Amino acid sequence: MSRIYFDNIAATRVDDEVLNAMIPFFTQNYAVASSIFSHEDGIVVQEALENARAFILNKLNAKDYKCVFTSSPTESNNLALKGVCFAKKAGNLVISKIENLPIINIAKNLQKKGFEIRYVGVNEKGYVNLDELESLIDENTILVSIQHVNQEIGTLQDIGKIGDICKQKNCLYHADATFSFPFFDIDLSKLNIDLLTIGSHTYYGPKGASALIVRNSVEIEPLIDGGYQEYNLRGGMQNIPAIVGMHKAIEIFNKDTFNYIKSLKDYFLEKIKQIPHIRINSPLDSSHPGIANVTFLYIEGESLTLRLNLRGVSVITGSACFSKSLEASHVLLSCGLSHELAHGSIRFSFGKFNTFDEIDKTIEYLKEDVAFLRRLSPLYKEG
Amino acid sequence: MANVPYSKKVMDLFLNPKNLGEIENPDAQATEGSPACGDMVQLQLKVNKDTHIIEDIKFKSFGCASNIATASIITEIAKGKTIEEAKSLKYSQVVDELGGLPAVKVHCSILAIQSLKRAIENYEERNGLTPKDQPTDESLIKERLRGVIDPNTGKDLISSKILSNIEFKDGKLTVLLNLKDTSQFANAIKEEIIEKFQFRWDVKSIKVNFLE
Repeated sequence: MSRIYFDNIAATRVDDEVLNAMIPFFTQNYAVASSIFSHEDGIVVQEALENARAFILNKLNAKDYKCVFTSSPTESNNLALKGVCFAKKAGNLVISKIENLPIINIAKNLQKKGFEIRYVGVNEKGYVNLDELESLIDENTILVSIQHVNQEIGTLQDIGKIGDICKQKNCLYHADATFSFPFFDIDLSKLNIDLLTIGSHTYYGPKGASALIVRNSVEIEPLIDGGYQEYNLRGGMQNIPAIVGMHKAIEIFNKDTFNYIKSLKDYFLEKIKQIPHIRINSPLDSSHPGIANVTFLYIEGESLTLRLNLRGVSVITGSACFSKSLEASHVLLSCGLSHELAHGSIRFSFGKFNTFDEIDKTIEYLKEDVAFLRRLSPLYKEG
Repeated sequence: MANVPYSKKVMDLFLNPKNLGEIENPDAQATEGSPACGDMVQLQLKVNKDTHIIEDIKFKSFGCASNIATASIITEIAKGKTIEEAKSLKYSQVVDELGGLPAVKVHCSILAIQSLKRAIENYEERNGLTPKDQPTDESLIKERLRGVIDPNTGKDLISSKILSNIEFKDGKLTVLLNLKDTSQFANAIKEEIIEKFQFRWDVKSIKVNFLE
């Protein structure tokens, strides 16, 4: 039986067109990208690399920026936060309380190294409190790092306003756009963004390719020394097949894909109303088209994800039991949910390879499994 | 079947739990853990007054698969045993019966054992079986308050510093909490505290006071 995969925000299936674009760079053009003074094999690969770089910069309307290829969004985030902080030597950093774990953990590490970390809060739907942000930034603030789209509930931040605040306060702004690009247009000629993280595996590209887009004027210290790759900001040979795949994935992503994914989510949110005692944790407007985070009251999330897993449905939960750390989702807690509500939360994330039929099936499974677990629950009183 | 982190026995009990539900007019009951921790077990007992044999036992559970499976297996192990036999059960026996648990889930078996012990204590207290040489004192009170969880923080009353003061004099227990009575969870916490002490042979009244 084929499985129903609703964890597309974590990683998507690679599109066939993307895979086909990548294959020659394993089997024919496998040389290391190298300068015009080297051999033909290396030059062909170099061209593909530079084409991808130019394409991405153009897509973002980034005229005065570098595109530094990295291995993952986590690496891009490390380069952004540590690279800038190490270049500045001292000061403070402002991040939101609902950043993805890499940003949270990079910040904790920087704190150990003497940098001060300030956390800006969010409202119940995950939108950053802009007044608080403004008050947290001072003359010692090096960098603000606030994501574009949230990984758990899909909240889409107003990166235009955040960028304006940073510019007005004279500090740098880094936005982690791993989960938003290329779903949402990002025009760097209009936005005050100094550093931008983008991935590839969240929109039908491969794992192993990501980028940090950096404004040319930003001082940044490399974290990986090596050859002369990537503007001397990231040593090590580039993962050319993955970068070629990333290029292709951006190229073929279009509004139809966006709209189809959105229609799946809308359909799911309509159908899920058939189950009583639920809470939709995702914002309905200004959010990722494919993320629906739902709490099923009176039950615990790991039990539900396990039952769904046995039926062939892949989802994740914000429950502590699910995580290695045994801590409930910091995103949901920061949005003001009680631990109890966080424990019962499930994230469904839809992608272009999903179907309406899969949603119908999942709703039927949910009806049975939620009812079963509620019968078990001492918290649930029927009627 | 999909890959799962649990033994076959855990999965069997997770999917088809035994002794699930509630007993009408139980002779004893206990609820340990809290929804805030994502781990909660309720046990109810029917005990033969002459033989002290646990004749029936039922559970309800809010938690992960191992929580459900450990609660289920403990009902099977305890059924038919005397309360003395049941009291001496160890969590390692529960883990063994289940064919092992992932290391991060062993705490579920401890919670299940704790629930059984509390339910038996509850039976003993209701029936005047508590040895009178163990009077209620500060350490016993604190130990029990560690079993009361603040749903806001997911921590117990002691480690969350919600407990401000306790006084126990002439059978009168007074608990003062660093919490306003307008707090969303004030009443739930109060009820849980009363439940912990209401059958103690030497506790005559329980008062839970909140901040002004």
